[in-house]
Amino acid sequence: MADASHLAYRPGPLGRSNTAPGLSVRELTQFSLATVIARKGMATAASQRAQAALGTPLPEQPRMTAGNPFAFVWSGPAQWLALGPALSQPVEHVLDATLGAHASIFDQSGSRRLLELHGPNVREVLAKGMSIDLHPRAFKTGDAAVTTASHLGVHLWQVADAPVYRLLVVHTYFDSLWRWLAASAAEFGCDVQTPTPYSSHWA
Amino acid sequence: MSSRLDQGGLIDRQQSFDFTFDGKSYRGHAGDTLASALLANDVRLVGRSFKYHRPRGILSAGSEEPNALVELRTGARREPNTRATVVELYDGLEATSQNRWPSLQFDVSAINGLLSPLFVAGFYYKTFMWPASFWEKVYEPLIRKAAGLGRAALDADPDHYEKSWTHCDVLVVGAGPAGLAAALSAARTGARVVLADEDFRFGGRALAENRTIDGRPASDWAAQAVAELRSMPEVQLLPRTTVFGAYDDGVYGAVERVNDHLPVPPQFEPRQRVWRIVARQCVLASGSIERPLVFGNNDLPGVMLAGAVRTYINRFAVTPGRQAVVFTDNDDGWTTASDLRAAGARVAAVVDSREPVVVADVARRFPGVEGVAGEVMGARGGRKVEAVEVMTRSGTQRRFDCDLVAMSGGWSPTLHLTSHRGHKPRWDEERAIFVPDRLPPGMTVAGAANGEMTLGEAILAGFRQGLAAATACGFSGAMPTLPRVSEESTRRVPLWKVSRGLGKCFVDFQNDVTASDIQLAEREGFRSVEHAKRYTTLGMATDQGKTSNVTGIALLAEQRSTTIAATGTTTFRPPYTPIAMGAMAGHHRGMDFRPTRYTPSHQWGTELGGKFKESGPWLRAEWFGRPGETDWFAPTCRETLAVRNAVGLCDVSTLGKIDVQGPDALAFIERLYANNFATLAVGRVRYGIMLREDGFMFDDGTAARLAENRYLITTTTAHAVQVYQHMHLCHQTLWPQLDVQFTSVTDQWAQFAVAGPRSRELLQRVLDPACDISNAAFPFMACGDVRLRNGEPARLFRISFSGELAYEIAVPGHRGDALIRNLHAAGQDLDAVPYGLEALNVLRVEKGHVVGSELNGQTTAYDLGFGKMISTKKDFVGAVMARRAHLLDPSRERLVGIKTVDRNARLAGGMHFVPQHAKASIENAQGHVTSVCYSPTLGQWIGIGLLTNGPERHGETVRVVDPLRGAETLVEVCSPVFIDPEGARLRG
Repeated sequence: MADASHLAYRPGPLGRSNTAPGLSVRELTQFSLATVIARKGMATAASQRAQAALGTPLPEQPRMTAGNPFAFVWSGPAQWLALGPALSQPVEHVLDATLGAHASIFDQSGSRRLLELHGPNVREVLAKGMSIDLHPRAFKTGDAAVTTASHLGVHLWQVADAPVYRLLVVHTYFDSLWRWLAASAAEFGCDVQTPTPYSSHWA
Repeated sequence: MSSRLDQGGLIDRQQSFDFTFDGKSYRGHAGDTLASALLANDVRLVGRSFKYHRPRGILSAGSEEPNALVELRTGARREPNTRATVVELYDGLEATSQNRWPSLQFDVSAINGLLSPLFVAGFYYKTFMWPASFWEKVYEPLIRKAAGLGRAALDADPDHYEKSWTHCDVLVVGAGPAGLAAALSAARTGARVVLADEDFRFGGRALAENRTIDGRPASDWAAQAVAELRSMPEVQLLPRTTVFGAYDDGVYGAVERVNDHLPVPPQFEPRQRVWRIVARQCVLASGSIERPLVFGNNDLPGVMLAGAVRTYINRFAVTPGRQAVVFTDNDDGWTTASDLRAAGARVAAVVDSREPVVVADVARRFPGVEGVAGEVMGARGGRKVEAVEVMTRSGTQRRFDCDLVAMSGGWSPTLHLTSHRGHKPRWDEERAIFVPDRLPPGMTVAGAANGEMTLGEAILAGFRQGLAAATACGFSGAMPTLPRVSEESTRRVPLWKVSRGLGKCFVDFQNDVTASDIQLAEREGFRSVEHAKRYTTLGMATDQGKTSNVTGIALLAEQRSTTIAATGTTTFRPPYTPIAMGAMAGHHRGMDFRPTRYTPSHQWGTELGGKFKESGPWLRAEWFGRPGETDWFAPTCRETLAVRNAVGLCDVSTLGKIDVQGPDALAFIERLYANNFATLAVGRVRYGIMLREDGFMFDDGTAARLAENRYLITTTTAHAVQVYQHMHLCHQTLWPQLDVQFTSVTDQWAQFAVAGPRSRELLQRVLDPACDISNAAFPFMACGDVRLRNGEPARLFRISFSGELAYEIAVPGHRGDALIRNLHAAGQDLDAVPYGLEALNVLRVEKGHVVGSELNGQTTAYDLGFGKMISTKKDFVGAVMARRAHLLDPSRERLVGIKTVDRNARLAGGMHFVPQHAKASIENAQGHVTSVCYSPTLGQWIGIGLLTNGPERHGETVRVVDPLRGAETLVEVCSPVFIDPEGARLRG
């Protein structure tokens, strides 16, 4: 088997380097993350409350909606991930204050690692481990999916038409996911960028 | 002397490749296959057959090849049974013949041919029957030595393989005239189209036939179609890609030989890639495969399929012979004669098995070719064909000298993919072919695969089906204009076997199955097509009978005096052609075989000499070795004693953690756990037991009441996922009315056990001094939010698996590494040490705590001493079944502790309990030892186990026996709690 030493997250070029990289990947750090599950029968009320207090309704379809300071990523019926920048208070407190009457809030800020991916071959790279169709006719900016990548449960959503994707995976499996991603991107060349603090906007 | 033509063909004469076969050097060109390059160099003998070791050459020009199987490449990349007809030539290619010794020219085992009466159909069941004493000692080694073809590489494959998904509206399988037409008409509507073909060049028979389309060579038409498709952004072209299977929901499996045409894949590129293609519609345009004719010695090198002869002439610019005889039962075979003549070869005769009047009629259309109405009885020659013996219709025997026999028994549609979902094809008696019948949803068939055998029919069908498939996906477009093609005739009168064959008449070349084998099988009662297949092994070689199945069925039908339709066909299953295991595995092999889950302290543990082992998906530390410690024993004892005497640190993040919230949170966990939780106050933790529906133990763990309506429950590492699934199942199907929300927070919390008499002292050093964790403020089984000295939030639980004063402290997952380093540094002068799974095990065995060895799916709460905990006042999962009388029978195997009578004796897990003076037999077994350890605290081996009437037998001496390793010793039965039975230490 080929030498695997190139398969660790380390800023710099990875894989083929004689052409422009087919994939750019950057880890986003310092984010707040929470699972939000509506109380029984209260999904609509929770969504209305989110609209009023956080600037966005809660998506009813596999979509991502951007509010302030949180974006909400659909992650199941009446269930979402709230994702935002690191806050001075615990995310559970902040969301409890707005949604607590209608939903249960579970802090997940320390549970995941978040990658941002783009580049001319990004779809080909992801297709090596993801079964969903990312063709622009099927998956557009704002679309989100709860799916698997290389047998690992992930959340994926598209943040820009370029396309730019964000991929969320539990931190204990990050190394396995990364080894697959690095192996899959190697033939196109990959620019592994220095991790940066989370921002809702694609820089 | 070369058989290469000076001009024509689709090879690049400017680019020469040197290659070797059996060590001898040859030269070919870009665009060649190994087979065409061998033929160009006049190599006719390529291999030896499986059973009789008969000399074999090249039969076909495609993936159906049964004879020309070679070992390709060397060393770790050596690949056996590679079909020379599909190996794309590259510079430096090395191939070796197989199944011969000492050499291809002279093969000792060819004597099997003379012993052929021993090797008839079903010879396994006949030759090797008697005497029985020979079965294992003589016959099996003999058979094993003879079995198998080629040698697999013994070293690990150095190349990378991968898998990929792709999605489309229309998948077109096969890029011959029909497939190209289908792809064009579908793609012009704007539909997403995937076009796959196993060949390295698109065009199919358009590359192989001397035909024109719109007045230009057919290969030009194909090239133009490919160029148009390549220019369309929604078209994905997959050359060198075999679609090997059709699966549920429009998923197709395909293997792309990305870099098989290079000696070594370029760096970072895979060698092969398995595609899973999700297609809304599929147009199967997989063409057809020509059938050999069955006559004597039809396996001699130089006897080839007529269509393959045309392929070698027209595509590869090679004449496979200088003097040929064409033997056919159809019009199509005759075109071979004219192609041979155009290439400068002599055609001694065209032998046509049909009526003389038909033969004369066809002969008129091929001026200058002599037609003979009759049959080839047999080919003559040693290692290659030298002549054929022909019996004419009028009854005269004639001999024609030749070095090539081009035979055609008509073409069979390649319809394998139509039947992968269980649908059988239908026999079309008039055309003497199987045609697709019922099709998998979303599939249509176009061209020769559907029996549309002429070029004009194929292009028309392709255009139609491609457009129809796109239309079915919601696209619209116009039917393309049909190109002009010349008329052709494919009339046929099937000849399944010559009436008088001279010598062995092969049907299945690769498995050496002859016409008489099939007849014998039928006579011996194997009349079903499925039975006859297995008895004769017809169609069971790596080629799966691509050239032999239909003929075999026809011969069986003839022998049964019934029709082919009534005889039926065997079942086609994926894969269509063999696939490398590496391609199926893709990225997921070696350490990537399955995902690895790392604990938050993994890096820290590695730096401290941690020795890790797989524990489900996790890697967990077994122990932390220090210089001078050479095995597990010393560190395990040292770490255990550190916890008993000072303080130890252990990563317990692997335990499943599920956060349960909502107004009905208590009601929910009350139904999940068998013991009572209603009385648990906020800020307190309780041990909990979950049962399965059948009343047996499912899992154990703790539930901490974090707030009025919030519980954090933990599960064992092994059952984390099952418990979470179980909770969802219960909530969604049993009690959907409960207003409860829960999710896994296993990854959210990095959690460490801080255990030992000095654990409180250590924690006080890392916690904010405002957090009071004194025994009064934070007693045993307390829990609550705390702060670290740097202000970071944490959770603290006063729970103990070791039996010592102990805590578990949790911080968000990404802060775990910082916390464990902080704890370790703060505890240096307290002799704080990391401890691993081995010490954890010793500590819990010394306390009689159960784990997976005891929660083995066969034990009840009663068996494990938890009987009194089970609530009788509430309903919960497993409540009714747990009350079954025999589950409460004292004579069940129940938990006890054991210690060796001889303090120097050792114990092993799995030892059987036997009464002291009884014979060690299965009848006398009274249970088994589930967990053992050397207790450094007690200075001897101890264990816990499941013993009949166990708790009533404390103080009794019994034997423990290990018949597997031949060990036994005496043990004293005792309480499973060896240390601090009153629990004073953990409450201290």
